[in-house]
Amino acid sequence: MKTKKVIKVVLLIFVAVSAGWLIVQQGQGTSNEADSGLSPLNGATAAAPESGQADEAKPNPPVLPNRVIVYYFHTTYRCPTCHKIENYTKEAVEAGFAQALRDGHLVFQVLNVEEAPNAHFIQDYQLHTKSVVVVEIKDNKQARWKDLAQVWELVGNKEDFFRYIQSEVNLYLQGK
Amino acid sequence: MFWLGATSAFWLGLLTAISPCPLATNIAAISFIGRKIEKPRQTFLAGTAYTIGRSLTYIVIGAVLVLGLTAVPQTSWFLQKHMNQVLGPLLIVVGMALLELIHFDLPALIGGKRMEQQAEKTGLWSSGFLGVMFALSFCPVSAALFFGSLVPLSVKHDSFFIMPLLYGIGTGLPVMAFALAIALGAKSVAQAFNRLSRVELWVRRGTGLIFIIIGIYFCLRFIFFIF
Repeated sequence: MKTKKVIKVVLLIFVAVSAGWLIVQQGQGTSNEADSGLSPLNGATAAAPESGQADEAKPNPPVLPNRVIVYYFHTTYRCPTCHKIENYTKEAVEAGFAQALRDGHLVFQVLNVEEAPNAHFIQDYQLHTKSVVVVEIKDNKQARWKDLAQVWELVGNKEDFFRYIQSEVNLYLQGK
Repeated sequence: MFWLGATSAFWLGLLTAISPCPLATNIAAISFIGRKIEKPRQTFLAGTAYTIGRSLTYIVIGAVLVLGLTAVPQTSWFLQKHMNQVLGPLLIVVGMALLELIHFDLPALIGGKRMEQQAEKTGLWSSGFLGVMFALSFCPVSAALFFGSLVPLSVKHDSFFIMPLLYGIGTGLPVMAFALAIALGAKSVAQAFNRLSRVELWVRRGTGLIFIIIGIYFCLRFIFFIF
């Protein structure tokens, strides 16, 4: 009977601490959002290159005025399937377009949309969850973009996933 | 063409249900729905209530989006982030109630002969409520499939009732089938050993324990970001 009481009290304390921590987080989140002064960016700025994901061992490719960017957008919380989508996309791009990646015609970037500077991408590309988006830049301005939404349906089949990513990226690289 | 869309909606629901992402909530739902092993009819009704709860939620979200009351990205990110956070403490409390660590004095549970009927009703409502809560707790896969595929499909076919309904049935049906199979299996075993009420008691305790474990997991993962 005493054990039951102890378990009850421990669980209630855990629930109270969780709820309290959640409320504190919400308060901090609201003030951070207000401080960050998030504003939607236009396509040109949104597509500006970032070097955060570049492998330090490799030299950075030149930033060309005409290029295609493949974005993988994620959040702070990352699920196993989300990691799989990121890895498959990276592998598919590297396997299919190694030369374009080296010469800067193609860029692959991984960004966390919960970080204030990247939050505008949610609105820019109408993202509703972790997503792969392909963007074409012409004369340093965003010409077009596409959310590759089928990644979630194809993630169970690596071959189909690769074929999908590579064909969509290829169309953008060829300007079709 | 409409039938193709309807089949796709149902298939998207199934795809959501069988993906690893909502596995934790599906386990909780299966154990909750299938806990009354003495009455398979009750399990069937609870499963139906759970599925209706899910479908209704998707229909309402679809309607809210179509009416333009809120934008798709904001709704999707809000539900993914906050509902999973709310779910943790809620699951622990429900688990504690199932283990009889805490008691809710529901007026519906008071009364002699009516008590059993009222308890059945309460069981159905709670299954429906569970369906609503679990449907609202979008994970990345369900958000991608619902907001990214089902909503555009509904727009394309101008069907904001049938498509979300079929999607909801698709997400609830596997859970219901598993719950029924497990309940029937447990009942046969319990009958064979002539220990029906004893087994049901332990199944209920097991359900409570599952709820508490999953609730703690949700708190650690979505509130404290420990893993």
